[in-house]
Amino acid sequence: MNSKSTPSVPLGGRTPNVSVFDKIRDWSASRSWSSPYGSGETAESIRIEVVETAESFIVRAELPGAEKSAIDVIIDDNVLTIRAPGRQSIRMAPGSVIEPRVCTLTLPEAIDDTKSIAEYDLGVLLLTLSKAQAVAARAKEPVGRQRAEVHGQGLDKDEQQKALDRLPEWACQQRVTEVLAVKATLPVRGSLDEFATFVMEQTPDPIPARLSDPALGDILADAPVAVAVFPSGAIRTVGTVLPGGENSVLLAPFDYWSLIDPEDDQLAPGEEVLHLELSMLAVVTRP
Amino acid sequence: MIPVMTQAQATRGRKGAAILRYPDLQPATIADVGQRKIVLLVHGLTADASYLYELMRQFDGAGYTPLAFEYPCYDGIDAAAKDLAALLSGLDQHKALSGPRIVVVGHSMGGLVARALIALEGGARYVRTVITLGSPHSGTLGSARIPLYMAYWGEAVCGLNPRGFSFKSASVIQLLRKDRPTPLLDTLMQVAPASQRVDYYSFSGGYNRIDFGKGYLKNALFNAYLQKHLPLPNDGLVPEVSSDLSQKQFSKCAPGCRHFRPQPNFGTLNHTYLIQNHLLALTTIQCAK
Repeated sequence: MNSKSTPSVPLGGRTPNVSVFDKIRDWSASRSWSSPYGSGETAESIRIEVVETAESFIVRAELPGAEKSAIDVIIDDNVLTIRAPGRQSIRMAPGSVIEPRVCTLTLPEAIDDTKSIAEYDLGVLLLTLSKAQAVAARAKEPVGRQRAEVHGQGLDKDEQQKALDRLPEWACQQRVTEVLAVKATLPVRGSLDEFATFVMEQTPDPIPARLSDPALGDILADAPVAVAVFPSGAIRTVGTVLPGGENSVLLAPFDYWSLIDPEDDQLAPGEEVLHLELSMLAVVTRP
Repeated sequence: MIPVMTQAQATRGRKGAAILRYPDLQPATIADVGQRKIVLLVHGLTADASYLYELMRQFDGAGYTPLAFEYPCYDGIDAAAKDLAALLSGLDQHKALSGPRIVVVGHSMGGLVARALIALEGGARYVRTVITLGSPHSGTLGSARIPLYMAYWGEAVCGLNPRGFSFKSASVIQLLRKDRPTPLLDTLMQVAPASQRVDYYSFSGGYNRIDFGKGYLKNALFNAYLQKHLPLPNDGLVPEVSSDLSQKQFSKCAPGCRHFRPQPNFGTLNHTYLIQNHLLALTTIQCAK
């Protein structure tokens, strides 16, 4: 992202994005417009205000009288430079050199200039600078920009036993890992069709599970599967088992749909996030 | 229906396939196949014989000796047919089954096992009629995940049985027509029955919603997703274009097949209800005569 010589952020010259301004107004109610990252001191200073959101920095710079085409915005990693032609001041001696207005800010995080937006209208430059890490994280998100998460945690001995007591005897005998408490959160967005496509096609990250006995060694030859015990009492095959680290394997759900309790609705009307809780373990099918 | 897989069914893979009798679902004996006409029911992927019980009772009342073939459903459709042929041979010591006397009713993948018995194992020696209910004769129509959904269905109906889920399992590979050099389903299509005496009937359901439990959400999401991919009519899992054995491409392997379309009588039956519907049971009994 070495772009010192040319403006990296295209200045679209569009009218301000109403929704962005609405958000700024909301934030301004609770946050001051002062910048915690310093402000530029120039021949003619540029008034700068910065608001940080989860995914971006929104920078508002006052550049009255500047031609849109003459404004340079330069981003180099986490350093933002704004440059605009200076203005003739009434206090300047005739013939004196008009220095350009320049402001440099160091932001606490790197910026992805390809995902950033600049707008200029009525003497105000508004920059929405996307945080590079947030852009990278979003790129890994599944289709539909839904962010879903799955976590697993080993249960204590009593809780493990409660789950095992619900399994049929054969599955209990063929258990090869600890019993995990798995929690998944699924944002419910879009139409039923879109959400259905997401839960049926997207694969959650595999969840590490310790072998119940290190002596089990390589259990993958015994066709292990991931089995779930749901809060309703339903028991289902929900995924495959992949190689893990030492004394552990990965429980890999087939899809998010598999993690939904078949006997329980789990989604209250109007709720926007589906919270799933279940117990998971690996059993071998060729003991 | 049983809530979870029984110990006996869990060890089916180790004990091997069995022909179970009615009503105790214990392995049949030569004495069990004595006098009456015989109907042999064959279950689908990941399921077991337990969900066939009601249809066995219907046939019992109609004067048949009902039997159910229970097999390790993941080992391959051809392997199941081979096991079935060997068991029938074992029970046929007094030529009680030859004649042929048996009507085979296959549900879902069980219909393919019935056809493989005829095409590959000389099953026409025992079998006079094959009836298939919602069987995917043309395979899984492009979606590589449909065997997974059939496995989900089997667990919803019969309880935990993880062994049909592996994408490496022979049955799943055959349902996907990914077996080489010639996909089994194509072979079945090309082999003419050794005997022209075998009568074929196929049934398709037309209710394209299927349940995996009592919860609304899981069912709604599945149905919303799959109905974008399946042609109509379908039974929620298998479309009629796959379960209609009377189509031209099957005229060699199932000559003279009579097909029962979803309309007018079976439009309200999904993949599960096909095996539970009274009128369909009575119709299959009529076909068996």
